[in-house]
Amino acid sequence: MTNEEKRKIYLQLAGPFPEHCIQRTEGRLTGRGYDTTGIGYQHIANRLNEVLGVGGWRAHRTVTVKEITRSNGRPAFEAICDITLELGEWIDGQFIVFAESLADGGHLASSEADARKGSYTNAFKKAAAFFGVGRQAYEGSLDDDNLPGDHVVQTVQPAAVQPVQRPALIATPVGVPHAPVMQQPRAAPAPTRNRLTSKQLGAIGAIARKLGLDQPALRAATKQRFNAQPEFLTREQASQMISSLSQQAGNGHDNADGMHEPGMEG
Amino acid sequence: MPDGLYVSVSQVKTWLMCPRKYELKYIRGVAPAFVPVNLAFGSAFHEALAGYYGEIKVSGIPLRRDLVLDTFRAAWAKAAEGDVPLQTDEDDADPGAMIDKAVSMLHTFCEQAGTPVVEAVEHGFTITLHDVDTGEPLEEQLVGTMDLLIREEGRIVVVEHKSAARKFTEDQLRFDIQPTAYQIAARESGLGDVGLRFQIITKSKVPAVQVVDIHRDAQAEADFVRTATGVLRAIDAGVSYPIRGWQCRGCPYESTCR
Repeated sequence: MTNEEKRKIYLQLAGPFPEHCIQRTEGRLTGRGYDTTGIGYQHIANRLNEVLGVGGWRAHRTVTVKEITRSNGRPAFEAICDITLELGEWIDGQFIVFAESLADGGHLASSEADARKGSYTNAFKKAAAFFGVGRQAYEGSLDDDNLPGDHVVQTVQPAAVQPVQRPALIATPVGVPHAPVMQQPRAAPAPTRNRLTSKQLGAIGAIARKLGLDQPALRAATKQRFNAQPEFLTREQASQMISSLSQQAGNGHDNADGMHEPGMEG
Repeated sequence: MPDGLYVSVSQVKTWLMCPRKYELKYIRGVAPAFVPVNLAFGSAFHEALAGYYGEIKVSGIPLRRDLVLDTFRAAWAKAAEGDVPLQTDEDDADPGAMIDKAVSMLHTFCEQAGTPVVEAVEHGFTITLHDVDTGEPLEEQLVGTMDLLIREEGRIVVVEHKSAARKFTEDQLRFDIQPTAYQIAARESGLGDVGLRFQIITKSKVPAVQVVDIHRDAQAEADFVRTATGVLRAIDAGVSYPIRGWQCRGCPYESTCR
């Protein structure tokens, strides 16, 4: 096959998909924590069949499944699929390969079957994207105005669609033993917390008791000073409150009785 | 209540109904202008039912009906004589008529309640919630009180009492977050997988007792934790805005809100 022939195949494979092929999910509905936009799995397969013909491609896969326990204590299955997608043709019972890509994909699900299925479709779509099929999902060019932040929450991608996230590397030349692996999405850090901590609240209560302040008096004091109940002070306000109460208690900032403001331990 | 920070189902519901009300009530600590009569009614009614089931737990037989009624009257009188006045909204009957209504409802209840095996009445809990996505424990613990725990066919059933204008709709039964929270709390506090039941006594002209067993799956549990987490994050971020609507009628913070 000449380079010109390969170029034409690539252009056909990499062409944009019509709107109805695009799947979008909202993190708030799926519970995944991020919005996704991608091309449906079957549309990827259709494109391969249309351009290369039935039998013009094949996939080898290895799926490993691990049973894990979710944070809520429930069991789940985490599957990882390593896939080799080959483009070629059958000649005298032999599949003659002219291009291949290697990719992996993961999926977490409550059932092993769903985990296997999801990991396979994710790996398949990624491998196909190396040939340009559905590459728009990885380039983030399907919905330029709908890109998520730098991080997405789940460490495993959803079954049907890929996160809109630019892969670290996208090209996989034939003959390279290991395809570059797209970075797995990492868990998003929780938003920076402003509200005081339980330790701070406990410290305020302890010093107040030492000063002989009962709950209503303490509430009145924080309301007068910060227009908020003690449980809803900010960290900074709580820190100020601890300092002033400590001074009233004659402790200054030395925090007698071994009491240290949370975050100041050691 | 725990020493540290906490959140309750009631707080979450308040924020979802009106963030401004949450702010005034919980964050600013604004004193309510009045006690909504329905709130006082519900509290007194719960007290009467707690007396009914509490006696079963102690002696094996229900509290006598006249004593159940007395329990309500005493609780109602206490609410009426409190520092904060009772107030009805325009759809409510006057406080005097509420007593008659309660008596009628309690008669209906006593005729239908039976004598279950009572494990606990007003069962308090404090549990740690974990972020569904990260597994991190939340700083605020979930606290609450289950109205009634009974044992049926070898397992615990959590019963939530409601006094309501009318029977609960399918959506209320399906999506109310309170039993979902109780299911999580029961498991986390060692009660195992429990059954969930609403026992609703209607305030209709002819009161009725609606007893419905409900089910909450893992998705509902995850939804609840996400809801609670989202509300807590919004509170932390200082999100507060008023929602004007039916909930303003009978809101004891309305005068401060406007």
